[in-house]
Amino acid sequence: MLSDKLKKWFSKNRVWAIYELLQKLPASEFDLISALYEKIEVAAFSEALRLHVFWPSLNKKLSIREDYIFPQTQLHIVYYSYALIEIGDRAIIRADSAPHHERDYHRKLLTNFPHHLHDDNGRICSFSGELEDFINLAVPYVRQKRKDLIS
Amino acid sequence: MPKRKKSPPITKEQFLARVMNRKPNREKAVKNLLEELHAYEMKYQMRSEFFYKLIVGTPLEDQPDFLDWAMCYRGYLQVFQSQVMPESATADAIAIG
Repeated sequence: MLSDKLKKWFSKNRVWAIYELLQKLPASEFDLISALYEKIEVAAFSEALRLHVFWPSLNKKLSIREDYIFPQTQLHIVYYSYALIEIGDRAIIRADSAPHHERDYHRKLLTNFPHHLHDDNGRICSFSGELEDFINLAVPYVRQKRKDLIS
Repeated sequence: MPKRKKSPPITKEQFLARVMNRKPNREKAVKNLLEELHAYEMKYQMRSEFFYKLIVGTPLEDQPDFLDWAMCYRGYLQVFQSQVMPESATADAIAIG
């Protein structure tokens, strides 16, 4: 079993990777960096990351949850749940690795079971399991709302 | 439109250095997890232990709150497990070296 210090070392690199991916989205309206320091410590202790990025003026938040294991000398994501949520807790899109769906809404087998996405109509779609792909899918929803606010 | 409060720009090196300089605070981590668990227990009027036994692993789990609640509970258990399990100095040496 790895020490907390080593888990922290792996966790901080994962959190930095997440921070870099978040640069594709509008800047958080809160001090994200300070929040990340704390999240890394909790991740090291609990082997799980729970991060919420808020945009109150856009009525949206991004929820990132990952469960880790630390086999030998690496960090491995065993479960995750990513969700773009409208304030009021309605999920716009969300993705997770819970093994509850084998087929997409066309009845085709998921390409990367158990990874799947619930699209903006609540339909099950194939998903890669990568946070980067989820953020790419979230970008238009966040930008659209922003455009609405400006116009 | 309200002015956005941006995080200050920071390099990876600065970020990682600041993280490692912070003193770990296990009590605060536990407190945060307990607060989150408590919020779910109040919302669904169910103890986390029962929720985990009844819901997790079933199709009912596939709800955002339940997935999050399950992950939070596993994290909570992990914190306590890590307190009683001995740490491996060998593994540390391999990774750091």
